[in-house]
Amino acid sequence: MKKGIAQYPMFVYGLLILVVTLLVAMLLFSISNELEFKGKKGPEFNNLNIDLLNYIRTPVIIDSLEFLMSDLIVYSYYNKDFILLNEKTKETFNLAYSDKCFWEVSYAVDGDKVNSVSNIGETEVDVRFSEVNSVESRISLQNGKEMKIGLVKIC
Amino acid sequence: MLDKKGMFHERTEEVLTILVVPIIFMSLIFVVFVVVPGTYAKIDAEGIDHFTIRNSLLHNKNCLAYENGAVYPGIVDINKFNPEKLQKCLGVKGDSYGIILNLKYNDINKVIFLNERMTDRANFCLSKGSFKCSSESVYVLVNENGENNPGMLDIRIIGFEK
Repeated sequence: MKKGIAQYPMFVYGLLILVVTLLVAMLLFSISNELEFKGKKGPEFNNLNIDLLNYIRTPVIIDSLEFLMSDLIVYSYYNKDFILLNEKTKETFNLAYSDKCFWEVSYAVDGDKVNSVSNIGETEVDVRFSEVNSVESRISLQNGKEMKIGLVKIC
Repeated sequence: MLDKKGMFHERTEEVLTILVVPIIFMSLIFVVFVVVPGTYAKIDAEGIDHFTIRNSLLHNKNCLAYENGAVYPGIVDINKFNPEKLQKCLGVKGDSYGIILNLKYNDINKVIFLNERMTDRANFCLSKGSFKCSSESVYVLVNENGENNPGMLDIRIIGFEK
């Protein structure tokens, strides 16, 4: 009789351990299930970063002297004159994207937007229904400051 | 004949068996249908093959990337823009991938077909079938005689749907 009675608590303990183990397993795997890798679309799956990198190092000729676009960006920022920069930027991206895409380049220092240029009004792309891609790059300025350059492309 | 003690003993074991067997069975079902599927990692790698080819073309010094001590991804070395070198770099042959490269700079237009067995099938991309194609234009700088000139590189990749 004692043996039969002793089997009840063992059975209950066993059942409890089984339930707890299953719950832990379910909890553990339900968390790992959320770690889903999605890499279908986005800036990492196109070459927008190459576009921005090449924009920054595009040669610019001013008064028969050759500079890089990055030099012109820094020069424009310190002189507070972005007319030439905007003109050269439009030349570059109109060559790159023509009117098939909407693009915008923005420049910000310490979080404050200092300039932006785009082809808004020159493209027929409906930005509401198109895929948006954006990348950023940084240029070092004096006094440890840096300028953040962002490129947005919508095709 | 069984006495009272023996009958109690046997009935207890019967009850336990009736409970334990379905619990084990249900636990197995739970493990097979709930826990095991939870361990599957979902990796959506659609498009990664074409992306890898494009990246190799633009970033690899053995493909198009200009090298001058350092490697410059995105700057195309015009001396590397020939089918033999690119074929060697990407290693595409047979029924793998076909690549059409169209480089435009300074009013010059150069076209390269890699693995013509697949590039000849480019028209099949128009229909929804077993082919998977991608086309992307990249703003590049073309290094010719040490000078960088702005240009566009159209990369069209023809492959099979996986």
